[in-house]
Amino acid sequence: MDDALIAAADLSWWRHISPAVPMVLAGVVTLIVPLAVLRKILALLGIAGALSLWAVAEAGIYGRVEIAQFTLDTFRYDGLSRVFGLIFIVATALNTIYAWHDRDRGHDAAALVYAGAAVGGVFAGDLLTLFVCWELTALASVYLVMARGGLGAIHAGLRYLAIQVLSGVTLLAGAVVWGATHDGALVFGAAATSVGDAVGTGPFYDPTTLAGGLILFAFGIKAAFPLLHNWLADSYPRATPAGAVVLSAFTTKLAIYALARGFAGFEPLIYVGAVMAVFTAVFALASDDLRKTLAYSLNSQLGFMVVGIGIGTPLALNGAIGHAVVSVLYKGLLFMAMGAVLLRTDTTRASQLGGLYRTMPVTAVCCMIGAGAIAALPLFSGFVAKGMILGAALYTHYDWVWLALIVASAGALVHTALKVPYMAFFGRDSQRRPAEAPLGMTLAMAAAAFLCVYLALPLPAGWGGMNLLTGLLPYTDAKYVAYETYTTAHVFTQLQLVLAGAFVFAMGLRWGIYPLERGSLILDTDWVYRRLGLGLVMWGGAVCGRLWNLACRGVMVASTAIAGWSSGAFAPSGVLNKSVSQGALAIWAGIGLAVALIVAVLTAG
Amino acid sequence: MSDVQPDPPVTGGANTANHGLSRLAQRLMWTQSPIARDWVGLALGLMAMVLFGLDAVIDRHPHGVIEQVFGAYAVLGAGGALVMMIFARALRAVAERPLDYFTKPRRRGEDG
Repeated sequence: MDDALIAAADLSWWRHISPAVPMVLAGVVTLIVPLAVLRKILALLGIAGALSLWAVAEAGIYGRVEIAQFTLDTFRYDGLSRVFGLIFIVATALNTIYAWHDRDRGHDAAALVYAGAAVGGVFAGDLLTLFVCWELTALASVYLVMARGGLGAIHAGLRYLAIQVLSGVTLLAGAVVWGATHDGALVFGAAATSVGDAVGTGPFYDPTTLAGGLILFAFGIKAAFPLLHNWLADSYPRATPAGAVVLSAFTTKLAIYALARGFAGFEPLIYVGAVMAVFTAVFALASDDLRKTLAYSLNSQLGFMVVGIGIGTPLALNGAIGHAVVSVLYKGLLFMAMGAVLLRTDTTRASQLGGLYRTMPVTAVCCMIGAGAIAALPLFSGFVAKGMILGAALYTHYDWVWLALIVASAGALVHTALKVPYMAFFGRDSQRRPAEAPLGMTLAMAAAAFLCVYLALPLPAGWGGMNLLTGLLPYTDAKYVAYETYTTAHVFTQLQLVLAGAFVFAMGLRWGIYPLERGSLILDTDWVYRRLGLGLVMWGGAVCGRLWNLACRGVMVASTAIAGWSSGAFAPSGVLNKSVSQGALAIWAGIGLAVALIVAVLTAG
Repeated sequence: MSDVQPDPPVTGGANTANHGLSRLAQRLMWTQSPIARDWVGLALGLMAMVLFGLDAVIDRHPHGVIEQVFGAYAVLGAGGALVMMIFARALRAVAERPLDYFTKPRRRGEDG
């Protein structure tokens, strides 16, 4: 928007509105719009409004609200929030086009409100605003899981909601404790003062304190830390075709943003991220459901980002944030491809698919481009971002962590880059001949595929490409981020890794080493609460039931005995109805009066 | 061939109508033959070996101890992929269950 125009019309207040506002408003209004096309247009208008607000915003803190003794900063724009805000807005646009064929009004509204809440969380300047947006993302996104219908989706949605709400409540508890120990200040992470600055290299919240620990736990749930990760692989495969695409973009990346804001440079995150990157890759390879494979794969990629945040150097943070940005695109693209397959074939099980490239060539090509990006092939976006994280790990002498990430990279090549397109579109012939994806899906996939390549191209200055991606990253000072992506060594080593891994994959299929998909599920640690925990609850319920029955029986016996005695006492032949002599009556009356007189004398004093 | 599985029955459902193959798709049917797959595997192996050998010529400016090993990235790529496949097989052996494991009503004492 022209600065002169804004000044002339005195519209400077426009810059102070969070981009989340038009998106959430559009989502709410969508609920009352009956026509699907109008809803999509309204969504695009909301997105355009958000993008405009993002473009005109200046670095600073706006939308300050005073409630009781708390100061809420609803809109903070700096080097870190602007890049996440942009990619969230772009992802919302792609998702809206992708779901163009969808006629579910609730789905349209939920997706917009969810995206808007995620944008709001990114631009939140205080913990309370973050909490509101945090919970709103949970409440809105659960619809996307349950909307697919069926008991499986509903139960998965309930489990998802319980875990997300737990994350929110924990965040609120952490915020309360933080405010109590910091004179009511609820600042959300380190702030920057201008575009180009970013968070510092040490954790803002001390995880060894109660407040810091609670906040880290809350962030860790949404970032799918080990043992807190099951909700991701449980719920994403159950969502609608478009819902999974939306889910893959926001919740986890909002958590990554929050970690970068609050815990950058916290060293244990390095090892947490390395474990995440490796063990989820094994589950991804073993899973039959390709959307579950993508969910585990997403979890593995989050591990890379968490490592970068834990290292905390400018290069590592740039890598983590860049990886989050490109991951939204290529992971979204892969989920889009599988969503199209699900729409056309009613399944995403690798054991039931194969040979779809013949009738879904566009989807297959787009899937392969997404695969190239996640494999970090040169000229694909993953190569730019992942290289920064690996380089940062080497430069800071975390050699074993670097080794783990390399193994995870080889795993990503096998379990997603090769497995997903091969099993779905090539491999054996499943004799399915589904039609190509609808036009909206195809356009969205093509746009995402274009971005996956465009953002990696080493174009001249002014042409965008990789410079556009690196220019958005928070740290721009060359002395901190001296890293050249397209060197002979980088390209050569990555090609070595990819080709060797691809050769082993091909030979694994040939010689029977590769674990062929079967119609089964792989138990994860959610067995603890889904089977063991449920068993304990049922056992506890049975015990309580028996105790309750025993108590009831005891009361029945006692009351029967009392009733029997009292009816016996008051019966015509009972003890209370027996006649007594006048002398005995007089004596008893005198004793009673004497007792009453003594008590009165004693209490009168 | 280890990757041969019985073709599953085509199931019904929304949007699952079968469509005829285009002429191009029919021409590309040969790519799914076992011979074509073997040629692809052979080509990948040759390229991987060439790149492994080129490690003697190209200066990678290694930083860490592990990176200094000859052909480190090729070895790690191949080894990493192999380790992943082996661990996935082991995971299947231990943790694989029927699809209705969590939903099937259990009898007393059944572990599933």
